[in-house]
Amino acid sequence: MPRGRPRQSQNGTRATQDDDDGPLSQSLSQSQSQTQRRSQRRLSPVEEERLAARVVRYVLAAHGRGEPLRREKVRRLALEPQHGGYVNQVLQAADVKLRDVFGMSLEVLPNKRDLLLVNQLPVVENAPPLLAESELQKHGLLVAILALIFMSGDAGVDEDTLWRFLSKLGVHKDHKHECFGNVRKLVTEEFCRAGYLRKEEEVVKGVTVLRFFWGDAASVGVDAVDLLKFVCTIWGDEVEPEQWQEQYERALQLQEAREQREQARQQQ
Amino acid sequence: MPSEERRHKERLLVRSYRDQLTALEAAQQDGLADRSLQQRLEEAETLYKKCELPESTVAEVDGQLVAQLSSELSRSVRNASAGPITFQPADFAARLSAAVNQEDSLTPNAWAGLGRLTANLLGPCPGLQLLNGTLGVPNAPPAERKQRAPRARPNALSAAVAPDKVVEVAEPGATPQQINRLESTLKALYRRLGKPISFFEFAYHPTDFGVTVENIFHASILVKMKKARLYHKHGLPVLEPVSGGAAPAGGDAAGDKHQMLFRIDHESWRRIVKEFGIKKALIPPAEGRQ
Repeated sequence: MPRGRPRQSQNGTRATQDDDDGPLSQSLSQSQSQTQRRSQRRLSPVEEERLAARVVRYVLAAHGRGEPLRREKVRRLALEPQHGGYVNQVLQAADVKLRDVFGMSLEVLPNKRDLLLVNQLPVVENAPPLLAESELQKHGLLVAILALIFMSGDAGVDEDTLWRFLSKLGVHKDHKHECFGNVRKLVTEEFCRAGYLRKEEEVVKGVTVLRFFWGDAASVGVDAVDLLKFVCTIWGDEVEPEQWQEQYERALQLQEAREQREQARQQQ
Repeated sequence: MPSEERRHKERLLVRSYRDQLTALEAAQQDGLADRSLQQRLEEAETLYKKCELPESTVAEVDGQLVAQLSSELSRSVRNASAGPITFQPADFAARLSAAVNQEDSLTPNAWAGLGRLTANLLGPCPGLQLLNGTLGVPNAPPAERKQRAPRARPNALSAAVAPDKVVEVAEPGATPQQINRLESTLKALYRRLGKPISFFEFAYHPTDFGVTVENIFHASILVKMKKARLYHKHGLPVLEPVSGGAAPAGGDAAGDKHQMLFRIDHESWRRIVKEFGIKKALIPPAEGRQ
């Protein structure tokens, strides 16, 4: 029945109807059912499988290059134009593939725009890490910075404090480091682009100063309780995580948020 | 004690106090105490005893130092009585260095060791870093090749030596003197060497591309006027003078055209100069041009 036209009986008279079955309500219910049909429309299993494979390949390639995964880019590069409306379905299918085959999950970051690959493989104690030497060195630097920012509180860490801390470890802002090269670029660009750090500019007495926080990738990918335990190990003196009251509470909050996200994903 | 000496002594004392204040501020910033507060207080006491006039500037800086020491002491007392530990970045850096067995700056091995220690804290999957290079971006549309119109050559000379046509004899700029200069050079070389001259070695200038083009242009006029003959010998073009109406040896009958068509540009010019080892121009420069 076309929208807006009253229902006619076979003899041409207008049939008696309840209010709910009037012309307007009919058209509304028709549009609602159209919306429901559109949202319930799904790709066929074969098509879903094919597109999910494209998404997996794109995600692996982009992650290997160290660039952030954007939902919009996935839709544009991995899906065909006619399948743009099935992004959610394909992303879910790609997530299942990544988990089953590669032991990774595809997390959606809080801004709903970016995605992140997170390792789901169980931690094996004392297993040799499968990273190149240069990657291990960058890893070490990044963890040191993340630990500093986490332990310094919610307000983040200003640039001066960060470089003063790193200078104690032999890493200077304006000197080329034998491992890291241009450290300033590594910290302010590469780590920020990968989502592990987030920088904000603030003007203090007319001077623009950078302030660093944990990025979305760190919030999702790093277990704050484990990081706090690492800090306790470094600190020595038989310090327990509970002795860092403020940091311990924050770590528990972050851990709870991660668990809730994981539960929400499993329920999908 | 003379007043000048007293003032000098006072200035020295004030400087000592200021050094103490600076050291205390630096220690507060770094969170590391190089000396105990008791020691600092005793040093301040020693300095003050040297002061002769209590109402002088020395008393003022002494008051500042004592106030700073008091606030530092009260902070230490608060921290000692509180349960949580205070995190100080410099302290953490020192302990981090000690944890990887380094005294000061971390060596590359130490950074790698720290990375191994924390390998499981971050999420990236180890397998991806082992890939030899990265996968290509799939499904990206190939970059479109933009067709550009050929750039217009503004130089009249470059238009005149376009490689796809042979110019006529009477060209503007081809003066008889230049043609004669080329002809006389060619004949002199032919007499001296007793054999045809390599066209490249004759016409190509080792450093000036413009002169090379001019030489080729004038040589082509010579050939057109039948004052020189151009042919291939052992696969390379050679040039020899033709003396008045004589039929060229081993060639065709008089009146035929001997032409060679080739493209010349900067790159090919440089390549030929290099491969033939052309170090010196055989054709002398025109008058007024060195």
